[in-house]
Formats: sequence, structure tokens, C-alpha cells
Amino acid sequence: MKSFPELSILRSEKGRISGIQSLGGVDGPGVRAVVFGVGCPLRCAYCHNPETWAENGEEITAGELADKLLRYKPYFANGGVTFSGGEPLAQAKFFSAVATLLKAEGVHIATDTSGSVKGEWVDRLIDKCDLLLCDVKFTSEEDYKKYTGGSLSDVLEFIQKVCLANKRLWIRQVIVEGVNADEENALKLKKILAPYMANIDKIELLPFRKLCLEKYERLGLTFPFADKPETSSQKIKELEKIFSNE
Amino acid sequence: MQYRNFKKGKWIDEINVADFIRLNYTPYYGGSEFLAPPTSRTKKLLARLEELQKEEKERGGVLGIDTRTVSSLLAYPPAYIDQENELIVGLQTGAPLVRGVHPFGGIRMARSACQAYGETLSEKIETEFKYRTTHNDGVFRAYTDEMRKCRHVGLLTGLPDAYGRGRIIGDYRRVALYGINRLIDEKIKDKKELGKRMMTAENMKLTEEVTEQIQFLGYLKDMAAGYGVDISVPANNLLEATQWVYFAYLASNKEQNGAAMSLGRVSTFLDIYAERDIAEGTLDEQGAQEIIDGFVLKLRAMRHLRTPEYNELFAGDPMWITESVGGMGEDGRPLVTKNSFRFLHTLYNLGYSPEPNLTVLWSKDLPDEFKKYTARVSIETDSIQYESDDLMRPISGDDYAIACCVSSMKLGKQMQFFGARCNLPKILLMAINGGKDEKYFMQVGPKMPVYEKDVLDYDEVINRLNYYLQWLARTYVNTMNVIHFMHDKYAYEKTQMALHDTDVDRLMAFGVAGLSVIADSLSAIKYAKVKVVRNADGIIVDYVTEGDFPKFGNDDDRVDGIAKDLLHKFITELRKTPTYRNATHTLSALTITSNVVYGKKTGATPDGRKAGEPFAPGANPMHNREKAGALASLNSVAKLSYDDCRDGISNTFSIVPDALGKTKESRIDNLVSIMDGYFAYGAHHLNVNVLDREKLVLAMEDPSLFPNLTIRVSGYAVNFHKLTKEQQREVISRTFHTAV
Repeated sequence: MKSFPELSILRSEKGRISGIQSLGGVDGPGVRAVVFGVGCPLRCAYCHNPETWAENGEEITAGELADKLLRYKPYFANGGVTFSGGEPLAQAKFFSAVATLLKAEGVHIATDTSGSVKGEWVDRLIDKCDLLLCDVKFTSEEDYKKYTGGSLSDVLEFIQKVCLANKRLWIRQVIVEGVNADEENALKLKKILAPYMANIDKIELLPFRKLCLEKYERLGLTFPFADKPETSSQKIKELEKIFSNE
Repeated sequence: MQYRNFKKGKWIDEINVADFIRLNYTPYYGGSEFLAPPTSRTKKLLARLEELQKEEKERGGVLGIDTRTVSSLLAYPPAYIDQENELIVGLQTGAPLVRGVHPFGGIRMARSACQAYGETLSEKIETEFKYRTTHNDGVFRAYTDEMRKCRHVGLLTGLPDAYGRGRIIGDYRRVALYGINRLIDEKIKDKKELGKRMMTAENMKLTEEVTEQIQFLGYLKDMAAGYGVDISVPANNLLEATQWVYFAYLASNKEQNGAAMSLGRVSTFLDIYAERDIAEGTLDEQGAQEIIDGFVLKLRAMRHLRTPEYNELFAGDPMWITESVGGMGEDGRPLVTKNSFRFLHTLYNLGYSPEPNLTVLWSKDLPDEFKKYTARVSIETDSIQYESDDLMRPISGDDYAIACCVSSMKLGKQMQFFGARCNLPKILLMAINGGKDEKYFMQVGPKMPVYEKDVLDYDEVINRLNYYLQWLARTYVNTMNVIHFMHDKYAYEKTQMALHDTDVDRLMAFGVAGLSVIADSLSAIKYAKVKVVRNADGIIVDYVTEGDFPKFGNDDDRVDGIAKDLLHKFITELRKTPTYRNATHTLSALTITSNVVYGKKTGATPDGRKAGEPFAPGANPMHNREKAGALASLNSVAKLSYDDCRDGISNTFSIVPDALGKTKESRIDNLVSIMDGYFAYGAHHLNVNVLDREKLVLAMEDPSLFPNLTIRVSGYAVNFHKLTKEQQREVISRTFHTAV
């Protein structure tokens, strides 16, 4: 049984978020409240939330955040809370605290991550989650480095840990024409994931979109993929066939 | 013989439809797979109606007006849309979609409505009504100068003082279950009982009313006989029961042009007949659906003649033929039957449509399959609304229905005096300006100096507001008393009230508009800095707000509490002034589409809303001020107390399909979860639209792309193309909850 001082230490853990979207219907199963942590070690060329790069945002304690999120609990049914970002693993200690508080109330927890952060607190956070949504952004070290600044091997290490902890996994990848929108890439991804299929419930290919252009302009940043076309749903369907269990 | 195989009970000895239903209905727990497609007969009739509707549209929205006849039960000969394909017969006037004239509410309205469509009210009617007092005449005889001013500046708007007040639901099922003769006998008995009481003014009035009720029940029987149908006895099967119910509803519409002419809760009642016919082998599923389709098709052909000013308030030619579907019985069994599905299924068999206004009474205990089906219908048609049965059942029992959008009443036992709404942001501005209107610069309320300082002080504003709310509440109740006294006197609903118990419970339904605007304005005054801007005469006409402040719709108690307390304060004030016929005071946060007109009539407000900008509809947060997403917005509205707002709290919710889920199945499941969560918080009503804003923009540019585009607005649904451009723009500007 937990003692009260311990709980209050958890509640006072501080973190930074850029906001809460109280209704997310796509980042995990069911109706979900999504929290956006700030800060990210990667600089993905197609990043949709560049406002979360800078580590400002609103400071909030784990207790305050958990209380806010619990207000949405009656809507969850098969849903729950998803930590997103930014990179939630960049604040793994904070999100572990939030997760502990939410778990105590029986809330299903997912973390939406690139899987490119390591450390003791990351391991603990994995342990608290029911589901990890891992965006395997690119399938070669070279591309990964080039378009994100990170390393694919870190991501694979993360996936391994998730499987060792016996958690469920959803894999995602954003498909960009002229970068990874081809069969070769899809086959490569399939091969990379093969050892982990027992834990993987879903592989989602997401079409590249440019809705974030305005945000970049507002922030005075250049959008590296501004010249790339949006990916058609036709293309996504085509590539998805490679993953379907024929 | 009509009662063969029915379980007998109290309903045999007394008029008690609820008891009949309880003893005889069959709950249905399954899914929609049993439903049947339209028959060729239905398709033919539908095709004919669609032709007529097309013609109606081409003629500017009105196909024709019978300007020579005062509409009543026996005023027109029997008429048909397509006789050989009509299972359910009866039309309002001598020809389909032709509108009748109802001058008893007000001759002026009838006259100007005719003129608006290029017709002239006949000399005959003009002459007849020269010697008659209408409801409208009566009201204006008794209105005080103050009431007229409140009306003029738009502090009180949409008052039913020039046409039928509506919002009364006859228990149309009684005609099917008992037949007219039995109903007349019961009313004769009631009249004898009244004769034993003291002949007070109230008792004499009621005695006279019951006499008129008896007379009109006779007319109803004669009207049906004109179609070769004898409704003096109970109905014998589903076809007859549906026809009997329709005749009763039709007769009410021949007599009255009420703003909302709701149907009640007939589907589960009728299911009892369907089940018996099917068991007896005289009906199959196809046949049952055909009857319901035929009935709903006739409902879709109902029309009333309105003026352009009326259409501005209540856009889209609505009738509010509200049918309440589902809910739970007090014995714990769901009141969902196969017929609940059949009614919803008409949206597929007959195409999407705003009418009848299908309203699902939601309970956490409804069968899962029914919940999922309704969610699917919402996602695919945007044509239905939801109201919390778990909230209303403990108050109204399990045989209530919704009138108009959100007003619940016990069927046959309660009626409502409809009271439109008052403009809350305007009363705030008036309080700041010492009783002067900020647009007309007219002294409307009691005189007080205009607020003197440069920056609004919260406590001082609240003190002023409390004072003016007291005054408004008193004036509002008195205005309503005048209206309903005169309506009872000159345009009493004889047919509909004949289908109520003689000793009926009365509700007086007040309303507010602009709740989120006044809540945000008070929040701005409290948490930010609001400077006033005066005109040359010193009247405050604008505000400059510096700094951020909590806004309604973000699940923030600081401002949500302001909204909640305001409703409590207002209903408490209203209750201090006695009502006509001892009606119970109720309150709603509902605007229909009048939020646009109200906004137009209201100056700039301290929340940053500019002069003339629309309010949010009903209890909705102001557009695009919701920063934490849909659930936060729902949580804010759910905090408003139904105990203060027993006439309903309307919330219209629009979400893009992609935000609701990736697959159809997940969208259905998620919508069910959202509804369960919202109503678990004690929320009252939700209009659901699942669509993309882009679709509306396209539809606005090219109406031919989506001719049947139906959307839910405040408490009802409309065909998008029947809205004015201004209203369309307002709908498009509302928050559409999107994915992140």
C-alpha cells in the first residue's frame, strides 16, 4: 500500500505541456484525451508540431494534469489517455508520475513516441503503459539520420524493450512521396518488424500532409518538406496491402 | 375484439396509455438486420412527394396558399397526394403542400404571410375577422408600454403573440387505443364533475374548454369519416392504429399553426399493434415498415404558413414534429422496440430529412445494439438528436415526450405555455447603461446613472446586473401571463387539449439566449481588464478588453460556474412572480436559429464579441473559443444544472469524421462513448453533426452538390439549403472539432 507522502511527491512532479486535446479518436483505441509534452530530441523534416520543439509550454504538476485528464474518464469506455508531443519520453519521469496517478484510477494509457530516447525513466514509463504507439520514421540509418537527426538503432532498442515488457504496440510510419512511398521501403519495414509481430496489433501508414505549413510560417521556421506533394490515400492503400496477412 | 390478446389492466377502466404500453410491449435487444427496404408503393408515393417538393422550392418555398379558407378540421374536402399508393390518408388542406390560413392567432400575420408569397388574403376572411378578436389583438390590448419596449429592442424576442403558441403535444395515441366515442364519454363525465365544483372563474373557464374539446372530438371523427374511416371505435391493427394517430395529429394541425407541433412518443405504442399483427400472420416486416414509411412520409408533407420575419427566427420551415424514440421503462426494461428502429430507418428508406425531428431518449442502460444503431444514423445522416432519459425519467416518469427541441412533458398530463426567450447579453449591457438600450438608446428598464468609471468593476457590474435581472424576470413573467391568457381566450387548442387529462399540469417555459456570451463577458470583467467606450451622449457602446480570461467551453470552473450560477439566479427570480393558471416556472437555454437575430440586435459585449455578431446557439460555448477540444467543451455545458433548466439545455456538437475515429466501427463506438460520458455528467441534450466544414462550404457555393444536406442546429434539424446565407455562414463559423 502506498503511503501518502509518496503520492504527494508524485503529484508535485513538474512537467511542461503545450496543451491537451480532450477528444482524440485516432491515437490509440477508443475515445482518448491526448496530452502534448514539449521538447523533442529529433527534428523530423515533416514534423507537425514544431511548436513543441522549444521546451517552453505551460508548466504543470503531475497531480494537476492527472486531475484534468480524469475529468474525461466517463467518456473513455475502451479509450483512455495518450501521451504525445513533442516527445513524451523526453519527460519520462514526469509522464511516469502522471501514468501512476491515472493507473490508480483504472485509466488505459498509451504513449505516442518515436522511441528514440533511452534511460531508466523511459523503462519505467513503458512499464506503466498499456500501449505504445511507435513511429518508426525511416527504415535505414542513413535516412533516419538525414531526415530526423536521430538513430534507427535506438528505436529498435526501444521496440525490443516494449516487447520484453510484454506491452502492446502500434507501429506507425508517415509516407512521403519521393522519400519512402515505395514497395522497397514497405518491405524493409515489414522485415524490421518481423521479430516483434507477437506484440504488434497494428501497422498504420499515415499519408504526409501539409496542414502544418501555417504553423511554420507563424513560428518563422522553414518547413523542410514544403515542396513535397501530399500523399494520396490511394498510395497508402496500395502499400498497406504489403502488410495485410494474405 | 380490438383488444384481443392485449393484457388487460388499469388502462381498460381509465384513460391510461402508459399502462397499456407497459403491459403489452415487447422490448427489442437486437440489431438493425431485420429492417426492410422501401416497397414499390412507398417509392411511388415518395417520388410524387419529391416532385411536389421540387416545385415548392422553385416557387420560392411555398407551393400554394388557400387564401379563402380558415383552416379547421372540416374546412377542406378529403385530399390525397397519390390516392392509390397512400396507406395513410389525410391532408392539411385541399391539396398537398398547399398551406392553410390560421387567422385565430393573428390576422396580421396571416395577411403578411400571404403577401410575402405574392398572394392576398381573401376579402371573405378579412371581413369575417373584422368582427372577431384574435389572440394577437387580445395580447396587444393588454401589453404595457414596458412590454412593448422589451419586445421592440429585442430584449424579449420570438414571443408567441401573433400566431399559435405550439409546444403542446396531444396524446394522439389515445384516439387509436380508445376510439373517439370513449374519449367523448370520458370528457362528458369530467364535465359533470366540474359542475359539482364552485363556479369560480377558473372552473367556468375549464368547463367551457371541456365543452369545446368535446365538440372538436366530434369534428375529428367527422373529418376521418370524410376519408371513409370510422375512428369512433378503437383501432384494430397497425394500419388502423397508425391512421388513427395520424388523423389526431393532422386535426391538431388543421386547427393550430403552433410554432412547434410535436408528435409525442408513438413508435413503441404502435409496435404493440405491429407485434400482434405479425403474430396473427396478417402482417410481415415489409408490411410493417411500409406503414411506418407511409406515416412518416405524410409527416414530411406537413406545412404551415409563416412570415419572412418568423423564418429569420426559426429557419428552414420547421414543424418540430418531434418523435421521442427509446428511453427506459421505470421497471428497468428498455422502451426500445423494433418500431424504434423502423422510425429511424425511414431516414434510409425515404432519404435524409429534418422532419420528423427524431429524438433519441438516451440512457446508459439502453441496449448496446440500439445505441450503436443510433450512432450510425447520426454519423450517416446528421438527422437525429439525443436527450438524457436518465435525467428526465425520474422527474417525468417513463411516458413523457419532447416538444419542440428539448421540452419534456408527461404525455396527456402536462402542457406548456411556450415563452420564447430573453436576451441575457442585452440585459448585461442595459445594466451597465442604467436601463438604456445600447442600440436604440431608448430607456427600457428602470432608470439608473450610466456606469461611471472607465474600467468595469466586477462587483459593481454584478450588483447592477442582479437588479436588472429582477426587473427583467418580473416583466418577462407578466408578459407571458398576458400572452397565454389571451391565447386560451381566443385561440385555445381544442383538439390537442381534448387529448389531455381535463385537470392538466401546466408548465410555463421561459428561455435565455446568449448564455456563453454573458458568461464570457462577466469572466472578462472579473479576470481581465475591460475598459468602456462611450458615445457622445455618454452611453457605453463598446468595450476594450485587455488580457486573457477563462472562456466557457474549456472545462474551467471559474467561468463555467458563472454560467451555472446565472441560470440559477434567473430561474429563482422568475419564480418570484406568479404565473397564469399556476403554471410551474421552467427555463431553457435554447435559441433555435434566433441566435443570429439576437446577435444582430445586440451591441458589442465585454467578451470581445463585436456589435451585431451572432451569439452561440443554445447553451453552446462561443465559436472557436474552445481550446481544449470536444470533451472539455461538453464538460462545460454538462455543468449547467437541469434542476434550474427543466425546459432543456441545448448543445449542438459538430465533429469531423476523421476526428471521431479511423474506421466506421470505431466512429460508431466512439460516438456511443461520448454520449455515455456526456450524459453520465448529468447533461441534458446533444445535437450531433458528423461532417466536414468543407462540405458545407461546397454546399453553400453549389447547392446542387448536396441537395438533401441535413444538419442539426439548435434543437432541430434543417435542410442546409433552407437557411439564409447569413445563417449558413454562421453555421460554418461554428467550432468543428477536428483531429490533432
